[in-house]
Amino acid sequence: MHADDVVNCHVLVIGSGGAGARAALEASRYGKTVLVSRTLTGKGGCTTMAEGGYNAVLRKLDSCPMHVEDTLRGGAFLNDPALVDVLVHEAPDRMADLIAWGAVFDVTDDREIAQRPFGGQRFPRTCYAGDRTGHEMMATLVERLRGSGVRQLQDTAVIELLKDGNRVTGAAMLDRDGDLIICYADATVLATGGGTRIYDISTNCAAGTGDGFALGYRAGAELIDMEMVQFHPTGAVYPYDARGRLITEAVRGEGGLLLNRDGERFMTRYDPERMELSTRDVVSRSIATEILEGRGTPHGGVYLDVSHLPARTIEERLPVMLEQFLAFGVDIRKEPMEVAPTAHHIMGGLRITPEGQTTLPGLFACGEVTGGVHGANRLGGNALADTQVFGKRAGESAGKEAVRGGTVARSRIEELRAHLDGYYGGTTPPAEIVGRLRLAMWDGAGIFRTEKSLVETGRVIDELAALTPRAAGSQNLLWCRTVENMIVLSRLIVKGALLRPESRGAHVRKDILQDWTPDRSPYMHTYQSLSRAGIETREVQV
Amino acid sequence: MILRIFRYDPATGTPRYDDFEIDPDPGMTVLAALFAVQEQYDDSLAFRYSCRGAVCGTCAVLVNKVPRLACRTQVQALLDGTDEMTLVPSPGSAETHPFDPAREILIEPLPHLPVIRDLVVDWDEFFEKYRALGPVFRPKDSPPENERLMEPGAVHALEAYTNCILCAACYGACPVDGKDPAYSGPAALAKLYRFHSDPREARDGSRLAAADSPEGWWACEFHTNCRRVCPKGVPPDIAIGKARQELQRGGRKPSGPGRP
Repeated sequence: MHADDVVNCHVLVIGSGGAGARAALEASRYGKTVLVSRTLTGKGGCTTMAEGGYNAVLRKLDSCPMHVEDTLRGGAFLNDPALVDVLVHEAPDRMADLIAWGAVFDVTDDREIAQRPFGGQRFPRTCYAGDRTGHEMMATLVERLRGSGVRQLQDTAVIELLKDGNRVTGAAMLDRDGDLIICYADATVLATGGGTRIYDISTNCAAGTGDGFALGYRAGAELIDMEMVQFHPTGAVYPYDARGRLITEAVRGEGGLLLNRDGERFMTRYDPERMELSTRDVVSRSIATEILEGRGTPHGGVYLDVSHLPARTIEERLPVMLEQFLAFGVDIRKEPMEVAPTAHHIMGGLRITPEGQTTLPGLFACGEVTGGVHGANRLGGNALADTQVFGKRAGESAGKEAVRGGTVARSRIEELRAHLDGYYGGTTPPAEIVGRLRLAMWDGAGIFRTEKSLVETGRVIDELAALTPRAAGSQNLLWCRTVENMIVLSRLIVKGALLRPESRGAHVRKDILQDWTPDRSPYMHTYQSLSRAGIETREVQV
Repeated sequence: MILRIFRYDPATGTPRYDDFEIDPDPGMTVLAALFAVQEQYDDSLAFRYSCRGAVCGTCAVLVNKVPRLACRTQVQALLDGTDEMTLVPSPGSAETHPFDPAREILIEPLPHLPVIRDLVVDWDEFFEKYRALGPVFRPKDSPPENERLMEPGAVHALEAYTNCILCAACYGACPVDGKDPAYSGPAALAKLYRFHSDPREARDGSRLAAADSPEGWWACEFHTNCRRVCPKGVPPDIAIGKARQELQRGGRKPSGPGRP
């Protein structure tokens, strides 16, 4: 049954969200490019779900140095400054690409791109298409892809990167029937997105299982700052089924207020200056504290209220939110939403150069699977910009790689095949393993952490790693592999959190007292690979 | 509550229906009910989903004979009968499998597309027809110095069509798609009209001409199923009607079965 197909190409792009689609478009200018999508191009991934917007410096009153500073400050000065510089300076050009390709963004009466305020930024620089910005971007990219020569492999998932010596030479994939496909490529781009589906409550789509972190790690690439997980302040809390679903920051950008059970605008106690538009790490912790201290709503959240805004503003600027809540019987024009933090974005990831080169030859990466751009906390609106800026760069770098034609040891493929076959004799249904993993991660490696909670979560992960997920049929092989990837990612996060003996940005260690502010921290990136793990330190002038 | 689900395993080749008993939690969606079946009874059940928030358009299935997004459809509303929808019957949805709407929910794959396994259909045909109409932006001139050329009003007008998430619910609901495999279908035509009406394009009639054929604009019979099932409020029938009017104003004789 295992007649494995072989695909040859110049560039293989793994993941068809915003970063992957952009990378494939760019790479295709240099040679035969294959884009692999676990679902259907443009439909998987979180870009299409992104509501709020895209940060770009477009106005005279705004400036690149100001956007850089906002991003570094928001990132608790853990960002790689070279990457931030590229992000900020190229975001406007990549925005122009999208518009030249037909994207329809909201405009002002002067026919300029409309921008709104987002948290942690001193200028309203977030461009948007209502609250379906990511969908508009994805629709545009997918239309553009149809006009390009990129070959799209749908319903196909990469299960392992293949190497020749230290060089990545392609990947092994599973198609929808569970058959193996081998792809040889001169260069490979990892654009698999994030992975917060390892948490009980998450905004991510089904693909947010962190496969790229696991693929990169197993191949020997180095990852940085994996402990940095962003909890978005405002996820839905009920009904159960909607739990964790994103309520866009645009709600606060448009003037939404956060209130506790007593109707108190509690942000006055946490960040009186920036209030609701403080950075996400601060707002999430504030909400979590209100709930933990008993000032939460009956459903275990806090109130987010826009009912004081004109109904027309809500209808025009937040149509998806309005519709989504109406479906659950809540009219946000008249009554408040109930919200609580939800796992949203992984700031850590593969270490890259500004060209998108990872620490492994032949392997490039872009988008959420990379680390360093957003530091310890990402600003709203910087992720969509990240996908386009670094998607183009990684695609270009991969395209410029020399043609070499890869080989892979036959034994490696036999090994993989045997591993997959092992799932048929597995011990435990995948859903059971994932259910336990998500609770353990939420409880011990969530918004607040201690060494004790992290060690306990690590213990549960070890227990789960000892189980073998069971495949009910060939169509379940991929899900079993995904479960293993989720365990790898969880371990990286827990280990990173133990490696960092400080609170910084989204990472809060309640058991550690420190007398420095983020800009004076003696620590830089945590790093993990198959061969080493640790934390970088630096001299701080007193 | 009973979930009656269409099953198909390509290895055996025989379709069947399986019943699963599920406790409906308040706020439970059809997608959550499918997860419950997978977790409690049968983890071989195959279905598509991704975003869980009605944006990606992968989870459209036939629910009680109506194409809907599983992630957006409330189980309780179906059982209460508050979310009923009646469509003009189309081949594939007319052959009824018995079910009692007060306690059973019938879930089948989207019609008019080949079934791969259980609720998973092969979308190639749907996207091939879409692609055939050339849905790639063609600006009439080089990118402007100033950011853009559209007025806010024009942006709003386009939004009626850019909202499309290509979920194929309309394709599965359209009686014409059911009987005429050559018909482009509502989603592809709505998308084509979106480019035709984009003021940044040349608007020279080439977009209209691209579907000026018996399989294009003229095949529509205006059953309006497409607009009724669209989870995003896109009105393909209106786009098609406008396209025909514009063609007729240009001297084109109507050649299709329906008139607006």
